[in-house]
Amino acid sequence: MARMKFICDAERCIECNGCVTACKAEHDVPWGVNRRRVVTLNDGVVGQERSISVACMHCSDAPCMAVCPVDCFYRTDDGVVLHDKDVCIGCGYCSYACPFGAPQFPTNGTFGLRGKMDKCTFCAGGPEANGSAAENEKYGRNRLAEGKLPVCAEMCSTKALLGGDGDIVADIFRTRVLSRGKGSEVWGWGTAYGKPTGGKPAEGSKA
Amino acid sequence: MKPGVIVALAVGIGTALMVSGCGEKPQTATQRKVDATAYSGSTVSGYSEKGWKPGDKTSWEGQMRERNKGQNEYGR
Repeated sequence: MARMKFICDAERCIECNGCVTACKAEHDVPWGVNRRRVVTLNDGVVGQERSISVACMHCSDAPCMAVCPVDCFYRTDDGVVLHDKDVCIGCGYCSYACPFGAPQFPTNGTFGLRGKMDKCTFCAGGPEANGSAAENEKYGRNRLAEGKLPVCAEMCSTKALLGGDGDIVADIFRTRVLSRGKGSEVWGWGTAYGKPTGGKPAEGSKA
Repeated sequence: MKPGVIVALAVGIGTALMVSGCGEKPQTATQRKVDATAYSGSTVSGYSEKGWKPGDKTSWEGQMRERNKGQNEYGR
């Protein structure tokens, strides 16, 4: 069974924000909620500036699942971490636990009323019937059930963002690294999919 | 503006404000629902990618593999 993972190739990301825009449009994500965003490191430093596209990494040992007091998270057979918005109470614990800042909370009004958590679904919707109106309203489109991969990865113009079966995307990345002879660091990979390190940074990880 | 119109407007706005809370959907605590598998397909078949059969796990995995490999421009 495939284990769905994301890889962002910092050597290729050109900070176009196409992934962010595609995600917003595909799932009709409201203002103030960014399931995916592009982060630039060493901004303005010549030769050292790198950009990466960040969203929920669907971690192997997801900390959000561990801290949720109402157990609203679940993992699909394909390794996608999803949650049930009918169970979520919007407490925000997952937001503190997530190393990638993935959980988002819609706010409105002067006093910042906090809603139920929203995050990247790997374009796999939620627990409602696949492709139903209820699922679309709460979680957006379910592309996996349509035989497609996440829209952010599939429309990435430079193919910096790869999403899909971990073995295949890792193979694609490995071919690139061998071909160009540099840029083997995969940001967040160790944190999301590495073995538990007891709080220390994972080996070979940039995060 | 006539006084009657002003009163009607005030009543209208007041009523709208009073019933604005009625538009909120009921939120009842439930157990976490069981999710259908991705390979079971979507109820909106019009958008499904051709070349695989919904409900057939092997077929779906084959479709996913092809789609995955499509991200590799070295293989094109």
